[in-house]
Amino acid sequence: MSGVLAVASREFRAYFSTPLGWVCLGAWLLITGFFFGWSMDLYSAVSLQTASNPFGDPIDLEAYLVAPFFGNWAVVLIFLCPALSMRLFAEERHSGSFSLLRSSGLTSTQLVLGKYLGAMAFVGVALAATLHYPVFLMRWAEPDLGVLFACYLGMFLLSASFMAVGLVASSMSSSQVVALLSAFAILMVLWIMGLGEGAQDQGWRDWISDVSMLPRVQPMLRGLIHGADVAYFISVIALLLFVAQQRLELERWQ
Amino acid sequence: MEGLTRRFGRLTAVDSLSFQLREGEVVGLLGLNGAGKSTTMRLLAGILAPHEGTATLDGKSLLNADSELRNQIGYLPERPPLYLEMRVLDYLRFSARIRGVSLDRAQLSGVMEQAGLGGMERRILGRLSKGYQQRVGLAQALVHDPKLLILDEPSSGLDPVQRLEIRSLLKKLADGGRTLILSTHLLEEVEASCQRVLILQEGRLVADEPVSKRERLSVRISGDEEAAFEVLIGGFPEAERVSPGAFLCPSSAEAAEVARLMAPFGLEHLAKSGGLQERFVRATLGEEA
Repeated sequence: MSGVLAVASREFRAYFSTPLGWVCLGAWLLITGFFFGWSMDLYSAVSLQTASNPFGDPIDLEAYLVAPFFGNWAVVLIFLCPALSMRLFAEERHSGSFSLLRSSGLTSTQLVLGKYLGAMAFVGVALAATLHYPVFLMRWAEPDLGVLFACYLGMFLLSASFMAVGLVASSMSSSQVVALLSAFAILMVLWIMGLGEGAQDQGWRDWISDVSMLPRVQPMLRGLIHGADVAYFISVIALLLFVAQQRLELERWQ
Repeated sequence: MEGLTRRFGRLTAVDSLSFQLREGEVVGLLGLNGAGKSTTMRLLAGILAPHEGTATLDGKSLLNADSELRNQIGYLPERPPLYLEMRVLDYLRFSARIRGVSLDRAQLSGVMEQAGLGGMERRILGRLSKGYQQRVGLAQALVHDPKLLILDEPSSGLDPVQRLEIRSLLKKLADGGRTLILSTHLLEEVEASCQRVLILQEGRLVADEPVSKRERLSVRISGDEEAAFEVLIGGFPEAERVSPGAFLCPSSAEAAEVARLMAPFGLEHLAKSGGLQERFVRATLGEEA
């Protein structure tokens, strides 16, 4: 376990000792800040309309501000996660430092876990860096904390799945660009599949909702945490980490 | 190593390779480019798995070896495996931690001194010269105090002064009782540092012999062999008869003196022989070379 933690710790620190981590973190905060402002504008406009109607009900903060705000994060994560995960194995292979890890006695499983945990720790920091938005909301309104928690859980699970896709892509290549583009392509396909949830054909719609990640996160944006959705994300992550582990093992024999 | 074979597609990079390393021995691995030296090193280090054969250390298989067994081995690849953004001390601490070894500052400083890196704890790896990066690479191979050191071209890409420094480091390590196997293109490095040389050609072992530090004078005559040998041994008691009409004199023998003694017996050939270069060329290019 100490080997896994050592790899994870180095990986986490590497994000802060190279421009990549800071650029991604800065871009993440800038874009989420833009979406927060945009969601606030939307909420204000709808609130004004409702306020001018003497028979209208007060609008739902969670439905008109929280859900659209967090819903937009998914699109940002499609770009951000491949950028964060591309270096995990590809850079090690390219620079030759992978032979240090390979000759150290760490197993492929330990390497995959260490890399993934390190990268997820950075994602955790990126998510934690957005906590000022809910704090701001709590200062001026009374958002449902359960919904906020569910949204953060959904985004964490979604980004964990996206990072696992990126980890697999990085394990397959020694080029960071190839790893970035292939992870991005896979996530775009998954996103487009998610858009097809509104398809006419019932069978097609069921299949999409079974395999696609994005429809699984929609209930969480409404504050609903289904055990099946959480289990789905955990299964997808476990499967992808297993694929990356098998890829590393195969590399020793190929 | 026993019958170790490793293929890359249709290419057999290492073919039924067998040899033993004795404790405390310094062995040089020589071969032309593509002879299989680096693949052999990577097989020993556990980076690659063999398709046939076994590699054992203290009787235990290195294939799927546990970390305890792996910790008996230190490996320096041709390109030092560095994280250029890290500081020297942090890098060495990390190298120890991934091997499950926890070293305090004093112990890490000891390793750094051993690798000639004293006072460089806070330096960033990417800003070090190639020679110092190579030393850091060597230090990571030493940080867990391994019994066997595998060094793949430790002097590759270094200038002559840096080469001498690395050679001096290797000598210190060898004097410390470690078993070393190093691959190199530099014959003088093998002659200076190694007790034994393994020569590979197309993945096969074509020579396994002690490194003789001395070149000898090779003499061939056409006249009376018995009489000539009597005269030669009178002047050089260490002279040997190697084949009909052919003798070897010690390197201390003066070529002019040997020529004077052998001239009456029809001296046909007199040349220095037996050096590593000659043996390497013969082993890799054949007797006609």
